[in-house]
Amino acid sequence: MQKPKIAVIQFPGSNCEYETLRAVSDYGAEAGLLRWNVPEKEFHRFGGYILPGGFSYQDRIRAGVIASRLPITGFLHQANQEGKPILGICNGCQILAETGLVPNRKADLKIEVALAPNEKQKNRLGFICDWTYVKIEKPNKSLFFSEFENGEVLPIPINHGEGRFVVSAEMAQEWPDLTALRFCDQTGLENEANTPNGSTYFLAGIANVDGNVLALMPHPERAAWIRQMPSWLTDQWAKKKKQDFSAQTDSVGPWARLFQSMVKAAAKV
Amino acid sequence: MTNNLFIRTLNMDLQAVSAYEAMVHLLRYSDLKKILRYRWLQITHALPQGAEEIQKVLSETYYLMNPNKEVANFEKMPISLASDEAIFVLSVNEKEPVSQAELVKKILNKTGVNFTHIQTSTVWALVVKAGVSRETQAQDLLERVVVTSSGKAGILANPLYQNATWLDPHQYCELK
Repeated sequence: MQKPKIAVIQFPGSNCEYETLRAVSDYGAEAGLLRWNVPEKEFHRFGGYILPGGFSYQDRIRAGVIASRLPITGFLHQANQEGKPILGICNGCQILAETGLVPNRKADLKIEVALAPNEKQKNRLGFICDWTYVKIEKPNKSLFFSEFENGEVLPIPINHGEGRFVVSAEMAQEWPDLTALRFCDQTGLENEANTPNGSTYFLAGIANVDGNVLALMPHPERAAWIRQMPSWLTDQWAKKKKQDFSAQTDSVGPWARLFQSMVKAAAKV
Repeated sequence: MTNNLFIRTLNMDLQAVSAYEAMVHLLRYSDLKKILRYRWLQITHALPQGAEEIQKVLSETYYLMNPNKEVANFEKMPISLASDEAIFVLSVNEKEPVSQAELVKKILNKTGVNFTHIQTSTVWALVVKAGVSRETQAQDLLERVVVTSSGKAGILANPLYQNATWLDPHQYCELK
């Protein structure tokens, strides 16, 4: 059977494209790297798209804003209308927020979420590089979470300076029915202390209302294999890593299912 | 009393270069001739020799700027303007400004200079082809290149967490 084709889009300044390619190809896709200035015909050969992490255009003006105005985002709008899965990780999340593809509540590409500099109580936190936990809310609303349970808590690394979700007043008043990832602790407790970057509503990621676009600040491609988990974590994943080490095996990590779900969705397009 | 300090890079400002390229080539705002970016510090104090004290902080510390990479202009930004050009000066700052209390404390400890408050903003000086009506041109700039209202418009200010305000060029610019 032919594998579904998924493209990882490389912008000037992307730096996570190769491990993202590895993750999506190891979990079932025929993955290809596309440059930001790819011709439209070549772009549409793929059944799904990933915008990887990095610093597109050196984060000039604001993270993701320049990349979000490139012609390729017009191609992404079309892919979105066709229901193709689109995943934005870290800088890709910032780009998707600036394009209006998430949450896209009224299908008008209005900007309703922004990624502001990390900040708590009016104090800048700078760049954060750490492991956190996120809780998955309403996984059934997004095709990226077909393999996940509601309320599942998973470890995942973050690596960003501008990852504080801010949402529009309209969206805050009328919260849409969509999948969200929220920062929490190992037990699933969501609060300010467990939100490393000061994000509104503890948000770490958000899907669009149609469920085919997902923008998340943490890096699932860095938690797709057990060997990537840090040994100092005290959860089941760390125990599994120790078992793997003894048995000299390499099991799937907590976020492998995200890529597997995406591959399944791309196969249906 | 408040002193204004406009700080810009000594070398080519890559942020301004990218802003220009994005506005002209991606947002198709062809009337834009030049764009300059400054860091605007509004320093409030009760010091009789305010400007001298700020100069002392600039020469003794790197807290306000790095003199190896940046240059400071007091009160006004020097900007050259041709006869067929107009200038629009935009200030962008966060709706919930970051506290500078720690910076004020560090400056006091290091230099003995006691500022009351420091407010920081980003200033964009947009030099455009002069139009018939300044108000219409300002509105056009806001909608097309300044305010991020949709995925196709505006790059300089995201209204979800930033404010964008026009400044009076006669008050803040030394036009040449």
